[in-house]
Amino acid sequence: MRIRIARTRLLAAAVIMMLVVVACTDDQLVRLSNALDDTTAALTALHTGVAAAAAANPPLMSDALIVKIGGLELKMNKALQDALNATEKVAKLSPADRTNLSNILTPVISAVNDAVKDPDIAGIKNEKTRATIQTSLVLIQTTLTTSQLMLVKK
Amino acid sequence: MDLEKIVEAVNLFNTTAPAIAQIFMSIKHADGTETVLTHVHSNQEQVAKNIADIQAMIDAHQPKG
Repeated sequence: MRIRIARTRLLAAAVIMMLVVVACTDDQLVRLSNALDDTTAALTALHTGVAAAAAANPPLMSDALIVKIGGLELKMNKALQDALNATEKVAKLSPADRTNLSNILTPVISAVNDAVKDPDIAGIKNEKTRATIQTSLVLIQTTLTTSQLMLVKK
Repeated sequence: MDLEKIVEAVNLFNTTAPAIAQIFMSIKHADGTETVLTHVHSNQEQVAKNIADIQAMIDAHQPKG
C-alpha cells in the first residue's frame, strides 16, 4: 500500500516536471528550430545541385567555381551544425544563447548575401544548374534571416 | 524510508525518466503541431553527411600540383 502511494507521488512529480518543461518552452525557440530545419533542407538541395553539376561529364561548372561554392557550402553547413548543437539541449533561449547563436549566424548570412550577388554564380552557363543554385541560395538566405530574427528578444 | 521503498522509487524513476525525456524531445505547441527538438538529431546527421560529401567534392576538383 505504502509502495503504491510512493509510486503515485512519483508519477505526480513526473507529470508536474513535464508540465514545467512544456510551460517553459520558448515560442521563438520553436520558430528558430523550424527555420533551422528549413535551412538544413535548403543546404541539402544546394549541395545536390552543385554535386550533380560537378559530377556531370564534362562538369557543368569550372573546377574553380566548384571549389568556391563548395567552400561556401562548408561554411554554411558548419555554422548550421554549431547552431543545431547550441539549440539541442535548451528549452528556452537565454540571453547568452541568443548572443551565441547570433555570433554563429551573422557571418554566414553575410557570406550568403554575397553569394546571391556573385557574378560567377550568375554567369553559370547551364540554366538548370544556375537556377538550382540561385534558388537554393535565396532560400538559405531567407531561412537564416528568419533564424536570426528569432534571436531578437520579443 | 526503508530500503525497499528506495529501490522501488529508483526502479520507477528508471522506467519513467526515458518517457519524460521522450516527451521533452517532442513537445507540441499552441501555434501548430511542430516539435522543438525531435528534428535536431536527424538534421545533425544530414549536416554531417553534407560536410563529408562537400569536402570530398572539393578534394576531387581542387587544382592538382
